[in-house]
Amino acid sequence: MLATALRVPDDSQLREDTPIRDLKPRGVAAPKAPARVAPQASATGIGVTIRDLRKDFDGHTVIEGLDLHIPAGQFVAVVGRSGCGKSTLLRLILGLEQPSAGRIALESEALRTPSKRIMFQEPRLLPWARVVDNVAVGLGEGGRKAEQRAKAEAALAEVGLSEKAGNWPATLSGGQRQRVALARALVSGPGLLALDEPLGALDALTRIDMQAMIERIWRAQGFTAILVTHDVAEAVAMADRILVVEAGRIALDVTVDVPRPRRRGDADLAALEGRILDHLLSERAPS
Amino acid sequence: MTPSFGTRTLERLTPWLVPAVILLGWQVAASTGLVSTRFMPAPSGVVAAGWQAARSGELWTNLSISFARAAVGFLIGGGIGFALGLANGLSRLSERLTDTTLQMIRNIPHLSLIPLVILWFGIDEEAKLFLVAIGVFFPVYANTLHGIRSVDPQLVEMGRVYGMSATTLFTRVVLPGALPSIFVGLRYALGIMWLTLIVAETISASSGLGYMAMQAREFMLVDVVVLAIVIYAGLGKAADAVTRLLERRFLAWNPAYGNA
Repeated sequence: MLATALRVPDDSQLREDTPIRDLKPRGVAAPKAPARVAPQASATGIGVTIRDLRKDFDGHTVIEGLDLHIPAGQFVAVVGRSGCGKSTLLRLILGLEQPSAGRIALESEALRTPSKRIMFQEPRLLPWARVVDNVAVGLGEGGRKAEQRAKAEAALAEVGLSEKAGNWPATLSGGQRQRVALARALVSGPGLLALDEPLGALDALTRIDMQAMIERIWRAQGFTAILVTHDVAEAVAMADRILVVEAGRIALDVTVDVPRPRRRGDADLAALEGRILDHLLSERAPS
Repeated sequence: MTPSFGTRTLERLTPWLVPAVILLGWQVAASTGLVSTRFMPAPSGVVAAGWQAARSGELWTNLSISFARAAVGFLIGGGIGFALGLANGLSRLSERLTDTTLQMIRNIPHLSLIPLVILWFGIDEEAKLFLVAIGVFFPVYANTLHGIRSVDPQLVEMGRVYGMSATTLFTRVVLPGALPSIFVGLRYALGIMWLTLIVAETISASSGLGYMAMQAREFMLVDVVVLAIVIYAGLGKAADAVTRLLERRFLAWNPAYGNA
């Protein structure tokens, strides 16, 4: 993390020294792990500042008076009940929706194109394009063919799917397809990655693998990550900070002060998960 | 275990088993006098008639004339149908403007236009081209429109979010997504193309396969009539084979078609 802070932004963002597979269980006391993975200014991440945001749909207010600052390079998880406005918040930050009032500012966005990428709940791969060409979609238009292909192949290697480059998406498993979607989102080296419940449709073990992979790549590349999820355990395992959204406002803003790599079943994480779940469940209590 | 050479040959020959048995039975029935060759010539007689027509050049002339008519009519009607299908699939305005009209015209059996077409064009080339073009227009139009409408909106949204321009979105997302449906239209259109052409040539023409068959009827040349019918079957099979080939090439990504 400290190394990335000093790094000059480059085009590929794909560091060659990053191990392709790094899913083996890690020791309790990793010597290099920082005691606190607090947000730190990153050379590659994009910070987000939101002031007094409001969004109405047909006269119905979904988000109201929302203030938020996400420092560059932070991993933020947004949790909340269905319909609380968390997906709308994500779409607003990405510019897929326009705010009804208020302001969303992305710092240093102009320096880089494309600056924002999204990973959807479904892989949304083009079935008629080979895996490597699907990844190359993330590079946008223009640029030399060979160069694009090389970048796409490097991104595929990052998610451990090099040998599937020439396959049709129909021949991949659900988890593999979502990894291709991750490679497509990251191939352009975005400063902001939005994750809209990308692991919701996967089985439990594949989900844990994917969480570890996303965390590892985030640590290596230092982009700002915003994860919208229903799964509080997932939020607690991955994020630096958890926002609980309730009726279009941020009801709870928690910093996860547990060092990485985090162990599943850690007592601090479990306690935090319990606290957030209590908060979410108490919303329904009669007032 | 991979299938042995013998098994694969057998698999390839199986579809031809039924036609072969029918031919054989037909030949036997004709040779033994069970069926009078005045009404139904033996397969050998049809082959002889085909050989004679081929040697005189009559067969090739008629075949190439029919083929050219079919191709030109198909390109005109299919081209317009494809263009309108795209336009109406992509633009609400275009659809509102033309779809109702097209749906009304679609319900007119195109062969019922023959008397009118003869009045307009006589028995010239235009008459045949017009009928073929009208016949192939609708299957191509309707299936292209349907194909574009049924493209996964999630993929379109993905394309937009990933910064595709309108042109790229069309060539990389919309058109490939509509292709399976377009191919269904193509298959229907090819069938209708032959049907229309043969009917038109049988009723009003001075050349072509349909004309050849009608002439043969005048002179009670049953073998030539049957020859013409056999050629239709062959042409139909050839058109189908070409479509299959194209599907394998362009829809290889789809597990329902090629084997990726």
